[in-house]
Amino acid sequence: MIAPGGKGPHMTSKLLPAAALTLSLGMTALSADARVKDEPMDTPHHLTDDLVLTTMDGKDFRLANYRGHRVLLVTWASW
Amino acid sequence: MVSVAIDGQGAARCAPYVEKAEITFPALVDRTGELWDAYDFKVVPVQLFFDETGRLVYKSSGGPKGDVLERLDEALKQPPMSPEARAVAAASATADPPARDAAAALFARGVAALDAGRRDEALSLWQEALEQDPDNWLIRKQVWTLEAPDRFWGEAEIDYGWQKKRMAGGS
Repeated sequence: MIAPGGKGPHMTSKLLPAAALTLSLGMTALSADARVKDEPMDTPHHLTDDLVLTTMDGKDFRLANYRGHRVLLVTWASW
Repeated sequence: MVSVAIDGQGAARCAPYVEKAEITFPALVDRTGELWDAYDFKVVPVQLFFDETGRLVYKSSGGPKGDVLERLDEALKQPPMSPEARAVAAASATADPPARDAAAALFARGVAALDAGRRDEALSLWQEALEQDPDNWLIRKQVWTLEAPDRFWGEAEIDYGWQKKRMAGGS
């Protein structure tokens, strides 16, 4: 796990809960959502400094906080 | 690792699920489509993996693969960027943000309307966003959540039968 201001990159062996979370929260039954697909990295994308998400208690959170770390973002939805 | 809920209706909708999952990593919310607009995805779940330089090295949609860790390790083995590519990336990271995709911009306006208590306006903005980007499941399903919240967060489980009927009906 990587925390903001943490001590540097951690081993990927700590990443397993991502799978559990995706299973419990992210799976939806419609086929377009459930299709499993690795996507080609044809367009270079980067962690952008201007991208702001919010914490569960409504505070702004910048992904730029993670610069210098490996980051796995796992998206899901409650709907 | 960070979890990001895609939810125009905000943390109140997803927080109960986060609590139940008892996760030990940060849980964030993307209300206005920042993430899916920036990284070009239109469904959930999607996994994005960035290396230490901030480069997106792995993007995967759908449920977890057979061996996620192996794939992530593999992704990290990509050759490092050339100095030229690195300079371009650094410049783009600090440049003015690109204009938002039209659908994402409409979606964000809908979120603002929702926050102002104007649900009907939010719904029509999200419907307009969907017309701009009809393949976008993140918008389509959130339109449905506004139209019929009980089908998603009612007493029962999510009503996928209802969703399939919506699709069959072409909406």
